[in-house]
Amino acid sequence: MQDLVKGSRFEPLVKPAITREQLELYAEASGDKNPIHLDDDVAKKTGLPGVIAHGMLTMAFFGEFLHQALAAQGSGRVEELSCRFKAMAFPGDVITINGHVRTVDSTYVECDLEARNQKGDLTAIGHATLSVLTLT
Amino acid sequence: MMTQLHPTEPTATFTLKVPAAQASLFFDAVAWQLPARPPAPPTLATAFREGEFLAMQKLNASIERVLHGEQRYRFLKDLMPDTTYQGETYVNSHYEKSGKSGTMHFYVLQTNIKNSDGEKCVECFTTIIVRG
Repeated sequence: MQDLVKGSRFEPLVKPAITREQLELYAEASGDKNPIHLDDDVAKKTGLPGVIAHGMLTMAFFGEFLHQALAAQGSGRVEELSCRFKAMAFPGDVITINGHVRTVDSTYVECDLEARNQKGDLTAIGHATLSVLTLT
Repeated sequence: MMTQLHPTEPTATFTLKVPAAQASLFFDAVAWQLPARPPAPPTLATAFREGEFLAMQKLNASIERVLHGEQRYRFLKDLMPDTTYQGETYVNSHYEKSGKSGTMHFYVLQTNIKNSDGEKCVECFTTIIVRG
């Protein structure tokens, strides 16, 4: 557990490379069966280079990252989570999630999050509000 | 220019229960790598987009032309698998931008997920982009 102050960084989360099978599983689990995530031909007909990963898959990675961060602190919950999708992610991409503390008060920790692919390109940015019971 | 719609009635309502097996699949789908799994995936609220998909139909947006621009959640109570919730989806605002492939329509959809006691559990704000 670390003392959380402005600028504190959490343990990065490096995800395995995205696979097409993963996108099929995620479509089934999330209910988002948009064919641009599943069918190359449909994706290309809409002007995309091929299937793209669900944006919400990256947001799920943000959720896992925050769960890891809260586990390290020993307690707390996510009060609010937001994500803006900046660039598409594709099968084969290795996404790394990083985050740091923007502000801390007696009740809440505000965090900035980012997702980058293996080339260092920013694919999503996010923000989370955490309530952490112990801030020492 | 953004048009704020101030809806008083939902565009779509729905009832949903995510089975435990689907929640477990969700963890598998995100390649959850932490040693412990919480009772529900942190972003399980994304499985409650039925109202958004109904709203897209009413907006005549073809699903394959839709991209996800932004997402925000306010978590008031934890969502749990095997629990029935009610959803209400509103179209809050609309604006347009010109892009390389034509006009893009942005819609901000709000879905309120409530439990059987009528308590709001999650507020979901989704920005979808309908490509020209």
